[in-house]
Amino acid sequence: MSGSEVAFAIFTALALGGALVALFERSVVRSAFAMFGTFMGVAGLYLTLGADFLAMTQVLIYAGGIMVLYLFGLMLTKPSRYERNLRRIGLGAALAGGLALILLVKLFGGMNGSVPGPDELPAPEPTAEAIGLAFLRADEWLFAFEFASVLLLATLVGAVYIARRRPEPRSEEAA
Amino acid sequence: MGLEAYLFVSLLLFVIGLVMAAARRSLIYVLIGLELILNAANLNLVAFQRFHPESGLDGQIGAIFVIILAAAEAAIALAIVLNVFSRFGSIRPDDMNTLRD
Amino acid sequence: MPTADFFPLLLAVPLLPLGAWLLQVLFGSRLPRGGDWLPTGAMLGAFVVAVLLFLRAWGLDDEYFVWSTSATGGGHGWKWLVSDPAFREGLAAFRAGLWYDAWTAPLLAMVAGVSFLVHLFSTGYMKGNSRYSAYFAGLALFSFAMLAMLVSDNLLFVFGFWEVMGLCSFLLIGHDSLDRDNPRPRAAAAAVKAFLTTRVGDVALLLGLAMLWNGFGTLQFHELQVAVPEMIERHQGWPQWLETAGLLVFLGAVGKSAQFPLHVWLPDAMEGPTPVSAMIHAATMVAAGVYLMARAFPVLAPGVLALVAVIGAFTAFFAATIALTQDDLKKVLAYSTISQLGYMIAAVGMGSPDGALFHVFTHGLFKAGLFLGAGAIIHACHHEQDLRLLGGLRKRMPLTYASMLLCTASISGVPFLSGFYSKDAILGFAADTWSQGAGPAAYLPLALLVLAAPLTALYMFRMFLLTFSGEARSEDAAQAKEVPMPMSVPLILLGLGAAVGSLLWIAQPHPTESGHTTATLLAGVSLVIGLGAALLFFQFKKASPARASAAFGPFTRAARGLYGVDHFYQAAIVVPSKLIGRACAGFDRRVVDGAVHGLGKLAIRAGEQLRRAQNGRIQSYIYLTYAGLLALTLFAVWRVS
Repeated sequence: MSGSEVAFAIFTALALGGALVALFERSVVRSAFAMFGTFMGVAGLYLTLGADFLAMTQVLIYAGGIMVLYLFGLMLTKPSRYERNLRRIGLGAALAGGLALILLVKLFGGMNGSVPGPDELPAPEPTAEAIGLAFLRADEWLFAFEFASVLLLATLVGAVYIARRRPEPRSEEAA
Repeated sequence: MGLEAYLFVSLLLFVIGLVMAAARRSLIYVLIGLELILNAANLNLVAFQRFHPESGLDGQIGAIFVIILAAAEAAIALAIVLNVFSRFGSIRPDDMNTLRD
Repeated sequence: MPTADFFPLLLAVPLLPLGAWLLQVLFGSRLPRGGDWLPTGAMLGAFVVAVLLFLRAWGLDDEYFVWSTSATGGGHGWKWLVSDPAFREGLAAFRAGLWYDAWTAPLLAMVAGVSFLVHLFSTGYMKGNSRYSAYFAGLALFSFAMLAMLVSDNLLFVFGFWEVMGLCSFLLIGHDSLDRDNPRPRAAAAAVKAFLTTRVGDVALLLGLAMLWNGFGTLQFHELQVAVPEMIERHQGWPQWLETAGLLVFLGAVGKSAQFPLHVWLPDAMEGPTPVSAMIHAATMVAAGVYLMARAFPVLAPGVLALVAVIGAFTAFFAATIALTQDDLKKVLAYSTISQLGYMIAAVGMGSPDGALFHVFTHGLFKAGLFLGAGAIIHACHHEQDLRLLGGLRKRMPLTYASMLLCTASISGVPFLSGFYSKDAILGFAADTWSQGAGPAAYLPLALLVLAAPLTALYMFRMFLLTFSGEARSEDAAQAKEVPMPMSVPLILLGLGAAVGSLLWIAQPHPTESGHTTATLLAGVSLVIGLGAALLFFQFKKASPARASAAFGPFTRAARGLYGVDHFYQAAIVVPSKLIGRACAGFDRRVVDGAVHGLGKLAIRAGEQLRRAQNGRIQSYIYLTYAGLLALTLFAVWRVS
């Protein structure tokens, strides 16, 4: 077992384990914290794929930003501490499982060595500078990048507007 | 590890996300399920990019855009969840059924 | 020859009632007196103009004169459908214009005059009717169409105005079916029957005209007069198609002029108000068929003419026997009209359009008088029109009595009255046909017409005596009073017209000397027999009509049953048509509508099932989304592999 395989195993276990805990854990807070593990595991998998910049982004934005946002959301909405049960999980699992089965069959039926093995790949290089340049070059991603920044700004304004809207009469009696 | 291994992990994450979005009894977990699905997709993108070096960095850049969109989605969705909570006093999806027939 | 200043005058005759109709339709019900003075006044104007024109024509060559606006291509004619002049040597352009000749002149004056008098009579007769102004609008439109038909110079215009008349006839027969106080559904049925029955003939006529146009490239009278002999010369005989076309034109006349076997609509048309019967179904419109035959005379092949003569003579006899058995005042007159129309058609068939139109002219006068007299009686007797319940009206309605006496005598052929001359002429031609031809087509017309002549006198005087002599046989008849002024004036004038009208006919027909002598003899004998029998039966009561009719047993019953023609049509055409119609309606309702409604119900049911899915639960929708995703993936995998 090589070092990379060990790393892959650890990160996979972290990601899938976190996801499973998040799925089945009845305590909302605990399952939210399990999601940190998932995000970190995925970030690790990015690292094993040589995507160092993406891994950092994942940690910063998902683990540091989005999850914190969700935690705030959980706290602000006062959920019951424990969910009683998962709603019709059998049906969801069946549907999702069917989908997974088909994709699996395709996955292992369709590769046929058209993809190079892990040993034939060139060694990964640092990507931060390359990505930064790609974003800034007008003939590559500049427009999408600027567009994304405008989108984020609009999102921010919109989110503030939605969250701060006057509560309607019905909410007052509920509150 | 080969491409199949990454795709398999991605598939499992995707399925777990699907079940979470469909089965957990809280709007926030529906959203978290969506995040899992997006992560699975991202993992796919990056893995394919890695195993197809001729494609340059496009896979990773696509993944970055997905992350950006996920952040935006999370912000808006949470704002909506807060609004829903203030209107219905609950964030259980089953309680929000005023659009039913 | 009349000069060009004829044109506006001639055009004014039909245009006056047309303008009156337009105003009447638009404003009639808002005008004082329902606007009845508008068409009546217009008709008076048209009549005066027609008389002026007639007087000018009177002074011209009394043999034949012709004035046409489109004969020489100049003048005031109209030219339509102009196509390549090289095509058909320039004949393909459709030309139309006005036409005025020795036939048109008296007929135009007669129609305008009768129409005016009927308008005048109607102001009294229809008083208080709930659709008073609509009635006058119908009369005005009818008068326009009839007058316009008479001044047209081509068969297509004749056909067009003929159709307008058919429409007016339909509207006016059905007039009472929409009455506010006393609606009569039978009137509507009669209107439909009249319209559909004449339609059979009209379709044939249109086909015939199409064939003529195709063959000659013209439908103008004077051009056909030239073109037909040329065609016969080129073909060394009558071409097959021309015979067919003539037959089709005749079929049109059979429908409009109520000849056997399409006569069934005319008796039912008596459902219309009596002045309408007087004008449309006695004096003018039904004579249009005869007029058409006279104008289309050049295109009728000898074989067709023989058929025309036989059909006309048969109808004259056949309808006369039915008239003898009818107890309804108006029905007697209706069958009498059919019979007289048979005389006219027979005259055309025997080669004398002159004689036919002469009879149209005199018949128009005395039959209008008879119908208006009947209208006066019906009006005076509170809509009682059963001969068995009338009687004794001579003293109570002296004016009507005098007028009706003149008209009855005229139609019966009493010497020196107008009907005598015209019928005499027709019988003279029949005698000529007998002596000059061979085979049944030669002697059948004379035989049937001579048989019909005493019957005419008999049924007319039967009606007349039952109405006026003896004692009143009902309360209504006993209390009858003479009709007031606007109704009595037309009666007097038409009575006078019935007496002396024959003097006004310009183109007197001339059978041969021997034929004329024979005819006078036969007519005299017929009159004596018919009138004598009527007086015996109904005036002096020396013989019982019941015994006489019993002597003819089965024949009487058949005549009372209208010889089963109506029943035959009912069984052979009306009932099957209704069955087919009902079947189609059923198919439409069950299958076509069923499919439409079924689709609607399917959508509703599907919606009711699908609304269960619309339960407002987000996660149910998520499941559905997954199912769709699964299906799409399956589809994609199946397509790729």
